[in-house]
Order: sequence, then structure tokens, then C-alpha cells
Amino acid sequence: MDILSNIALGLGVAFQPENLLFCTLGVVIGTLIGVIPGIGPVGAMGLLLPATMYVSPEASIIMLAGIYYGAQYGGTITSVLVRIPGEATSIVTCIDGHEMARNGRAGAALGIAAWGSFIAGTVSVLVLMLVAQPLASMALRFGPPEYFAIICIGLVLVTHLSQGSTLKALMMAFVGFILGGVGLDLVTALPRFTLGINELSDGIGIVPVVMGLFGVAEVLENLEGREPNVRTTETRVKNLWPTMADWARAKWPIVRGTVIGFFIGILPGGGGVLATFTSYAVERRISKHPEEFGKGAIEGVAGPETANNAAATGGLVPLLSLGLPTGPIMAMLFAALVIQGVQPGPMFISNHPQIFWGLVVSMYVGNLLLLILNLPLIGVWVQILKTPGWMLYQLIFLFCLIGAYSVNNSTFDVLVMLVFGGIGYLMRKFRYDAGPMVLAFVLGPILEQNLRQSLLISHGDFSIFVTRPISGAILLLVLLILISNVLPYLRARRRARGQFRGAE
Amino acid sequence: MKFNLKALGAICGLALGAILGMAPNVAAQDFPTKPITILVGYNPGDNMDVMTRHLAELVEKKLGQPINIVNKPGVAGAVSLGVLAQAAPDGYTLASVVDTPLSRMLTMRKMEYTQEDFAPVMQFSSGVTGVVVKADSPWQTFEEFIADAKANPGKITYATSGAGSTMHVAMQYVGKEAGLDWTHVPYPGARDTLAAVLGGHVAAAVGSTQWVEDVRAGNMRLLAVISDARMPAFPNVPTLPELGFDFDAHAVSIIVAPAGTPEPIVAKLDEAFHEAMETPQFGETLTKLIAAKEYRGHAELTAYLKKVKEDFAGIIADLGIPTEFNK
Repeated sequence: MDILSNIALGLGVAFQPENLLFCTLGVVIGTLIGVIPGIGPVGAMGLLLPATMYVSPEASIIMLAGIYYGAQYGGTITSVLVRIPGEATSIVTCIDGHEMARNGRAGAALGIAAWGSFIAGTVSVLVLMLVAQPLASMALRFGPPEYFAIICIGLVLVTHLSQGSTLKALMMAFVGFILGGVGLDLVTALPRFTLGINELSDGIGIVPVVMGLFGVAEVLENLEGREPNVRTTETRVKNLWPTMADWARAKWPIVRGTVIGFFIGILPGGGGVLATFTSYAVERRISKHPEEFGKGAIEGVAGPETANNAAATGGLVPLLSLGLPTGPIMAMLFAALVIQGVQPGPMFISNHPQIFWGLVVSMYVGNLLLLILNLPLIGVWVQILKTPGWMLYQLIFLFCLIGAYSVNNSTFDVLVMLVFGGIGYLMRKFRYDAGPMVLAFVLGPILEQNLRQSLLISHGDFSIFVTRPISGAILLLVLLILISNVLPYLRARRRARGQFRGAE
Repeated sequence: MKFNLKALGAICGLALGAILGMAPNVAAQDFPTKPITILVGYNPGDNMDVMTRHLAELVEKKLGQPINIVNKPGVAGAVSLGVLAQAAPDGYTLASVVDTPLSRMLTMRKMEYTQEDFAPVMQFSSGVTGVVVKADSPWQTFEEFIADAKANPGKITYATSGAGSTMHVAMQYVGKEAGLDWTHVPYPGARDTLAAVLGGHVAAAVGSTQWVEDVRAGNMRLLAVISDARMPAFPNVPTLPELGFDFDAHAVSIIVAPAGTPEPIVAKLDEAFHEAMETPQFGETLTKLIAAKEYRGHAELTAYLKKVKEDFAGIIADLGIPTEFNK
């Protein structure tokens, strides 16, 4: 009963013309910045933040949230079409989404991503409504040892991300770790590997690295003058929708993506990127035809694309119920509320029900708007592929430059992006995968932080990881995954040895 | 050194004035004749960003020239100072930062600049930090907390948003004075430390006022305030000096110009910003952000920053906290 009156309150707020307008504005801006590589939701929200002081708190948070989840839709588009992630959360989509586009199935990839995002968005808003408060207090029980264990899962999945040699994947993961180690040491605050450069004290920025490895490297590869590899894409309208067979295959990945995304979204630190990597790895692991992954498997698009939208909503749980932002985007929403004189925190939902419920209902509306907006537009987006390659790649390069600069208004970041563009190009030439490197680069610092915090709390006693039930259980799971990875290999070796003996 | 620079700046200013056929104070009277840029050393939406944008809006009206805000986030404000040090010293490029990268950080690490590279303009706010514990913890007062830590050497953990921060150093100072040993657990951000306290992973969090809502809601208890004055919102909570620990280092929010900016221009900016910070509108913004209003003029601030740096260097040397100069 209570929840019904709350929803009624939310409907009243969300359907006020002003709020409806700002919701539409938010999702449209979000989609656009999602399409443009590098210009992420953080930058756009930052630019609009001062303007939000002049509208009501409801309208301001509804619009900013719209930008956030709208960007998750938009980020997919460039990943699929030109293999350049519009957002960090769309990195994995490049793998199979772009392969689908090369097979003439760009429309199906975009379609399933839009539907998956819609389903995830709607379901996770429902969950947010029902269990925001109990979930948040559960997430609090996750301390450094538990995070350490979760990140271990992420890392054992590294090898599932790569398409080529496992050895090369592991090498790249170690490179990623080392790159992640640049910056100030957490415990002593002394610089590591900074070469005396001020900017490096904060570590190497993830956005310029990813844009270099994926965006600039793609452009460089296409400069070689061969026929650009997106040319084969089918652009006829007939193939724009996912078929029944696609739905049958994507159904369960969407369900799993929603669950994985939402729960990882709640946890501080990992957020959307970790959710997409995890979803991809899970789908590949349990798929009946893992060999299709990397060659255009629709599961590899449906799962991660669903997960990033669910994570976007999940991240709101700790923000709204505890006042704890889990990442830079959440911090931005936090700031928007604070400058309106609304303090997010444990008392937020009871003190400002109209904001909380208005936001929740507006997210339903926003997700519906995005679906309506995106499905017809797929035909338009696919037309991008008809742009002559020389023009398309110049534009992409231009947007990469603008994007890298705009994150921190820093020319240093532009330099970092160009350097990693060169590295990424060489990695492609010698068939080293960027996926494991990025994963380790993102997770490495969080892993180190939680390991060292755990050991500080336990006074150097490693048993803290296995005596605490949650982290112990997760680490057991890690062990099982590792064993299941190694077993087939050992069995194959024994069989090979047996055959060898038989031949003697 | 500083006086020489100032003298040099004055001589150059005079010479330039003579060449252009006007005295430098006339130039200052005309200032500003074009838009001013303020580099904010933090992300859009951070408290410092919100405060600076509001101040700029008010100062614009007073000076009659638009003010551009450019965010140059990174290394707690040090990146923006690195950029400012290279800017022309004409009063048209300023930075808005917390004093840490211009005082305490210089004692810990090799930086790309020194205090002498800047001409402080004024201070408009000061930060308060406090020690909070979970509401259902056994410690009702700071004394009880200390007594427990004394009885259990090394067992009590506290979280801060970084090693070498004023909060970390304050707690180490208290530990040394009271003759006890507690364990510091650094986190990347102030909010992470609060989650760690609420989840029961550490005993206490020491940090800026982001705990206010939790303390008001009864989830956390504020044991002590690290400042020289009690917080108006929590008049019953004692300060560290009141508890017998002579430590009140706290971060202050300041506007700085590059060294060599003519003194009359600095004075004019000082006056304009001072007037803006005293308006009721800005007072409201400070209240919303739970920041304290505190003014220091340019001369006073210059001396203050020097003293903070020297004092801090002495304290961390006493406490044996490792720095890049002694590792």
C-alpha cells in the first residue's frame, strides 16, 4: 500500500511538464555524448551543473540522471559501428558488437543492445524502489577483504576476455598492472613511477588510455590505406532488427546481465566497467558455443550492454540511501543535490520523498523515451557507415582529441592518448589484445588498495581473507573457477601423453 | 628572496608605467580591462568549484569584467598551481585552491613550484575536520576513545582520505602526545572512510564535514573537532586544543596569483573578493556546504602560508612520517 502511494507521488512529480521536459533533455544529451568518444557523462554533467542551480532540485537530478543512463545507450553505437567505445562501459561491446556489424548485422546488435538496456533499466528501477535501503546496508558489510575477493574474480576472468594466446593475455594483464601502479602510493603518499611529472601523481588517466588504445589505434590502422574493415557492413534496412533466433540466444544473457550489473553497480569502486567485463566473461564461460565469441556472438553484446544499464541504476542505491557516491558520476549527482541544499544521506528518502520517487519514476519514463528514440534511429546511425572512410576517420580522430582534452582540460591527457594510440597500434600489429591490459589497469589499483587496507586492519595477518564469511566464500569461488580452467588442460595433456605411450 | 622579487616586480611595473606614460597605480585603477580567468584545481561540482563559481559571479559585478572558470583538476590542486606558475603575472589569471598543495604538500614531496612562485590574494573559507565513530560503538567521548587505544596498542584503526593529510598527521600527533599506538588505514576519498565506519571495518573516520548528515541522523557520533573553534552546528563537541592537544592545522580555501603580479592589482582583487565573500548570498552557499567563513588579506595570508609550511615540516619530522626528502 505504502509503495503504491509512493509511486503515485513519483508519477505526480515525473509527469509535471517541467520535469518531463528535463528528463527528455537529459536522455537526448546523454545519447549524444555517449555517441561521441571521449566526451563522457562526467564532463557533460559538470558543464551543466552550474545551470541546474536555476531549476528545481527534482528537475535538476532528473536531467542529470537522464544524461547518465542515456550515455549508456549512446556509448554502444560507436562501439558496434566503428569499434571505438563511446564510453568506458562499452569497451567489451567492441569485441562482438563490431564483428556483428562486419557480418552485416549492425542493426541486430544495436537493436538487442537497446532492448537489453531497456529491460535492465526498467527491472533495476523496480528493484531500486523495493529494496534500496536493505541493499545499501548489506553493501556496507563489504569491507576491504570482500572487495579484494570480488576483484580476484574479475582478474581470473582476464583470460576469458582475450581472443588470442593466453600467454599474451597474461603478459598484457601484467603490463596493465604496472601502468595502474603509477601515481602516489596509498599508504605513504610518496610518488611511484611518476618521473617527476606533476600530472602523473594522480596516475595515468583511464579515459586517455582507453581512447588511445581503441580509438587512435583504430584510426592509425585504417591509415594503412587498406580497405577499412567496416566497409563490409550491410546497410540495408531489412536487417535492422534482431530475429527470433537472436532473441532466443540473447534472452538469458539479458537476465543475467541485469542481475550482475545491478549488484556490481551497488558496490563502490568497480561500477559499470567491471559489470560489463564480468557479464562478458560469464556469458563466454557458460556458452555452449564459446568459439563464436569474438566472431560476432550476440550474447557478447546483449549481456554487457544490459549490465551497464543495470549498473547505472544500481549505483544510485548507495548514493540515495546512504549518501555514498560510488564513482565520479555519482559524486556529480551528489553535488547537484548539495548545491540545491538537499543533503543525500540516510535521511534522504524520508526527508525528500518527492525527489526520490520523482527520480525513480522519471527513470522508467526516461528508459521508455530512450527506446522510442533509439530504435528508429538505428537506421540513421547505420548510415554513418556510408561515410567515406577518409572522412569518418578524420572526424573520429578530431573527436578523440577533443574528448581527451575535455576530461580534465589537460593537454597532458592528450599526449597520453597519443602515446597509447601508438602503443595500441603496435599491439594490434603483433596481435596483443588490449582487453586484458585495460582490465588489469582498471582493477589493479583497486586490488592493491583493498589488499593493503585489509592487511593494515588485520595487522598483517593474511587469514582475514578466508575467515570472513563473504570474502571466504568468494575466494572459494575464485579457486573453483581456476580449477575448472586448468582441469581441461591437464586432462588433455594426460590424454596426449597416453596416446604418445600407445604409439610407442 | 621574496622581497627581492617584489622589489623587482615594483621596479618593472614602474619602468613599464613610465614607458607607457602612466603611473602603475593608474593601471591598477583601470584593472581589469579584459576578462579574468580563474583556474579551479578540482572537478566541477566539488565544494571548491561550487564556492569559486559563486564568488566569481559576485566579483564579476564588482569589477565589471566577466570571469571565466576553468577546471584544472589533479593532485589535490597542485596541477592548477603548476599551470598558474607559468601564467603572466598581470592579475588576469588566478587560481582557486585549498592551501594544502601550497603549504603542507611542499614539505612531503618535490613539487614543480615553490611558495615563492605565487602571490597569495586572499582566503575566503576554512575547512573543519572531525573524528567520528559509529553510534553503537562503546566510545562516548574522545577521552574514552584514547583510553581504549592506550589499553589496546595497535588494535584501534582509523581511516582518513590519505597519508600525509592533516587528519592523518593530527591523529599521529595525538598518538604521540598521549603515548599510544593506533593504526592508520588510508582510503581514496572522504566518503569511503565513512562507509568503512558504518560497515564496522574501522573504528573511526577522520575527515571533512561530510559526516554531518550521519551524525544528525544518529548513525555516527562526533568525538572531536580538529580546529581552533567549536562548530556552531555541534556546540557540545570539544576541539583538539581543548582536549589538551595543541594541534589545529586545517585546510583553508584561497585565491592565488602568479608571483610578480603588481601589488596594487593584488590589493584590488583582495578587496573585490573580500567584499563578495561577505555578502549574505555567499554566506548561504557556505552554510549549505557546511564550510566556515574565514578571511585573511593578501599580506596576512602570505605570512600564514609560510608559517603553516614551517610548522608542518617540524611536526612531520618529529613524528617520523616519511617524505620524499628523507626516504
